[in-house]
Amino acid sequence: MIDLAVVNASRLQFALTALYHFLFVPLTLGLSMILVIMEAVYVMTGRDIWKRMTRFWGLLFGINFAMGVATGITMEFQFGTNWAYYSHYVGDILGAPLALEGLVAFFLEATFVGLFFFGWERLSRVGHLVVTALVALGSSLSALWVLIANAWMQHPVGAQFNPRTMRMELLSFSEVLLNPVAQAKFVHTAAAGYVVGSVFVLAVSAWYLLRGRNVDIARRSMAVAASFGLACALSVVVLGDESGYLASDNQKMKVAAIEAEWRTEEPPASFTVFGFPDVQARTTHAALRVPWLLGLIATRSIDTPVSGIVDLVARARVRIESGIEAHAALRALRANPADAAAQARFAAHQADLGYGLLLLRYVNDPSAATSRQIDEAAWSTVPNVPVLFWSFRVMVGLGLFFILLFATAFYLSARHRFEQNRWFLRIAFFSLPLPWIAAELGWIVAEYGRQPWSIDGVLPTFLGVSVTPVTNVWLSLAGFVVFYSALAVVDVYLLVRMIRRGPDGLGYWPPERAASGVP
Amino acid sequence: MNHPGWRRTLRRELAWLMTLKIAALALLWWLFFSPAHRSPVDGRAASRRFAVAASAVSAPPPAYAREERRP
Repeated sequence: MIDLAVVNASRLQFALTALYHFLFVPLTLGLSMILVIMEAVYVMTGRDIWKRMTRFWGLLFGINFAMGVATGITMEFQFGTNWAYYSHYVGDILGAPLALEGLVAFFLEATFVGLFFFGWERLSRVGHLVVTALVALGSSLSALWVLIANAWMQHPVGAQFNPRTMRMELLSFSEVLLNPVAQAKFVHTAAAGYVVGSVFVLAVSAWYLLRGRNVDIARRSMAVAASFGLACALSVVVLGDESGYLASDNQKMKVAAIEAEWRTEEPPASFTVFGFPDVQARTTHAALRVPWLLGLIATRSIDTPVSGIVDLVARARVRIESGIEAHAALRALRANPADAAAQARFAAHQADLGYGLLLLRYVNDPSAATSRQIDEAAWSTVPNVPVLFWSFRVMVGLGLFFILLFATAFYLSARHRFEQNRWFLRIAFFSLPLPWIAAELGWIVAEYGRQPWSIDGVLPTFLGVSVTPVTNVWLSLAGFVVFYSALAVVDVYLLVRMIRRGPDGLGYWPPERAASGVP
Repeated sequence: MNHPGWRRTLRRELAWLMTLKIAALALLWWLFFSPAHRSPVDGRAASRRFAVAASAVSAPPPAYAREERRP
C-alpha cells in the first residue's frame, strides 16, 4: 500500500510552491504587455515621459521576473523528487512542452530581459520596442507551454497507455498542442495575468495621485491600465466561460462540484448564487438559485442536463467495475504479453484503467475489492465541494468587481477627473491584493477541482508519488517555506522601496517637473 | 562612462558569481538529486506500484480484511 503521508506531504509541497509561484507569473504576464503599450506610445509620439514610464514600470517588472524564475524552476524539480511515478507515467507527453518552455520561451524571455534593461542607450527606439515585445512574447509563450502541459492533465488527448512500458505514450503531438482545453486555459490565464498587471499599475498610480507625486506619469499609467484592464477584465469573463463550457464536457464532476449540483436537475439547470454545501447531507442549505442560468452557461442549450454529483458517482462506479477488468487484463498481459484473450479484454476496458487504479488506495488487488470499497472509490472522485463552490464564487465576484473598477477608471480617465475623485483613488489602491486572490482561487478551482486525479480519469494522484521517506518531503517542504518566506520579504521590500522612491526618486522623473506637464 | 579596468573587475565578479552558483547547484544536487535520492522507476517498478506484477498482489490491508467480499 502507498504511504498516504508521503502523498499528502507531496501534494502540500506542490500546492504551496505552485500557489507561491503563481503570485509572480500573472504580474510578469501583465506588466510585460503594459510595458509594450507604454513603449509603443513612446516610439509613436517621441514623448520622453512614456520612455520614463516604461523604465519605471520595467524596474518593478524586473524584480517580479527574477522572483518568478527562482520559484518556478523548483516546481519542475519536484516532478523528479516527489512525483517519480507520475513522471514515468506521463513523461513521454509532458516532457516535450516543458522542455519547449525552457528552450523556446524561457530563454527568449531571459535573454531579452537583459537587453531590455541594458539596451536603452544602445538600441534604436524601434529596436528596443522589439526587445520589449519579445520579452512579453517570451512570457506568454512560457505560460502557453506550461498550460499545454496542464491542459493535458485536465483533458488527456493524443496519447495511449502502453502495457509493455507501463506508461502513457504520445500518439499525436498536434493533438496535445491543439487541445481545446489548452487554448481556453491559455487565453483565460493570460487575460487574468493582464488584469493583475493592470490593477497593479492602477493601484500604485492611485497611491502617487493621492500623494500628489509623479502626477503626469501616474495619470498616464492609470489611463493605460484602465483601458487595457477593462478590455482584459471583460475578456477574462468571456474566456472563463469558454473554459467552464469545455469543463462541462470533459470534467463534469468538477463542474458539478463547483456548482454544488448534487442531483441532476430538469434542464435547463438553475445556478446557485449562494448557499452552504453540506457534504454529509449531500445538499446545499439556504440556496439562492437563478433558474436556467447554469444550464445556459454550462451547456449553452435549454434541453441538455447538467449532471449532478450523485449521478456522476454512479457512473464512476460503473467505470470502476470496468477498470477492475482492465486491471486484471493488464496483469495477465504483464505475465504473458502474447495472451490474445487478455489483449482483447484490455482493449475493451483500457479507457477505464484509471478508475480501476482508484481502488489501490483501499485494496492491494482491485479484483478482490468489496462493494463498499468500490463505493468509497466512486465517492473519492468527488472533489471538495465547499472549497470549490466558494473559491469559484469569490473568483467570479472579484472578476465582476474588476470590470466595474476599470470601467470607472476608464470613465474618469476620459474625463481627466482622477484627482477630483479621491474616493476612487482609495478604492483603486486598496484593490491591489484582490487580483492575486482571484488568480490563486482560479488555480484552486482548476487543480483542486481535478482531484483525485493527477491526470483526469487516467492516473490517480496518490499513485504518482515517489517512494521516499515522508521526512524527506517534510524537510524539503520546510526548506521551501523558509526560502520562499525570505524571497517574499525581499520581493516586497524591493517593490515597496522602489515604489516609495518612485520615478522622481529614481531619477526617471525629476521631482521639480512632476506637475509641470509633458516635457 | 566606465572606470578604467572595469573589464577585470567584471571578470572577477562574474567568476565569483559563477563559483557560488556552481557550489549552490552542487549542494542542491547532493541534497536532492544524487543517486542515493533517486527512485528507480521503470516499467517493472510501475507494474509493482499498480499491482499488476505477479509478486505485487498480497493480502488486503487489515482495515478492510473483515469486510464482506464484493458480490
